[in-house]
Formats: sequence, C-alpha cells, structure tokens
Amino acid sequence: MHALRRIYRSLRPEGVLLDLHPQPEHAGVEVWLGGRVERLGHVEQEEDIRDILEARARLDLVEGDGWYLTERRRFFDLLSHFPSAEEWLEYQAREGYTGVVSDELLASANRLLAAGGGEFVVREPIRASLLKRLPRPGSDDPRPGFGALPGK
Amino acid sequence: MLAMDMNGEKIERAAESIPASLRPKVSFVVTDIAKVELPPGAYDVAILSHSL
Repeated sequence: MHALRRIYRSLRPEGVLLDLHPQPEHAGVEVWLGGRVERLGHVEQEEDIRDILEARARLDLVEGDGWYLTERRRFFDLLSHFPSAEEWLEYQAREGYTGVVSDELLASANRLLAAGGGEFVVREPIRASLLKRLPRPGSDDPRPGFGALPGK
Repeated sequence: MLAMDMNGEKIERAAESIPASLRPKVSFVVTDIAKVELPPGAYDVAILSHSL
C-alpha cells in the first residue's frame, strides 16, 4: 500500500501507472527441440503465488478507494529461454527466485536436451494493467487532480 | 527518468546495459519504493514490473 501511495503522490494529476506482474499460476516448463515443443510440467512456486494474490488485493483496494482506474488490461506469456536446465537453475539462484521443479522434470529435460540444439523454456503468464491516476475528492491541494493522500 | 530496484546487482547491470544516448536521461538508484522520497507530481508514468 505504501508504495502505491508514494507512486500516486509522485505522479502528475493526469499520470498513469503501468503494472506488470505474473498471473497467480505456476509457470510452465517446456523443451523446444527441432521445431517441437515438449510440455514437461510446471515450476512449483506457492510462495510467489501467495505474494501475487496479496499484491493484487492491495492494487484492487486502492482502485476500489478511487485512487486509480484501470483503463486497459492485457495478458501475455513471458518466455525465458535457457540452453539447459542447469543454466535455468543457476539463473534462479542468482536472482534469488524460489520456484523449483521436480527431479523427474529435470531428468526429462536433461534427457531431451542431451543431444544439443534444444532450449529449456519457462512460460510465465503475465497481466499488464494501465491505470489512470484519479483526482482525490476533498483535495486540499489547489492544483486540479492533485489532492491529499488517502490516510494523510 | 528514474530507475530503481532494491537489488544492487540488477541496478548495476541495467546501468551498464543502457544505450549511451539514454545515459544522461536516466538515474539509477538502489532503494525501496516504499522508502524513497519522490518529488510530488513530478512524473508522467510509473512502471512497476514484478514489484508490488
């Protein structure tokens, strides 16, 4: 909530907020090889999904309170490509991500990629929202649309 | 333009990879959006990516 308040205050009255975050779903894991796509399973990310649902509830709350209005929303898949499952695991560790995949999935990926030329692909569903900053009723700021912060 | 992230390594990588023509226009800061002091009414667009 605090971040959304700060952003609200820092935006011009006609400013917009573009928010991109994953859908509260497990990302899919695929191997792309020779024009074929093998869907192997998904990334276990219960903690991430819980965080996403909490973040979405915060966003819904400020929108419900009249700070912002969603003007447009789009959904798309963000594809991350890695030459091997090992490189994806290293990336996960480097970035501090907590999602894991099963040993069986890793073994399948390694078996498919052993011949070379393939890719380990993670498919993450994303929601993008364009939110318009709304004027606050009861503003104590004389500038149009630039009002007092809720809870101030 | 102000770019911020709590992760210093990510900010460092972003600052290194930005095209030279944009460098004078972008400031990079390692901080938490919930703590940073931003000037009121200063920005046209705020972009949150995996940040809320």
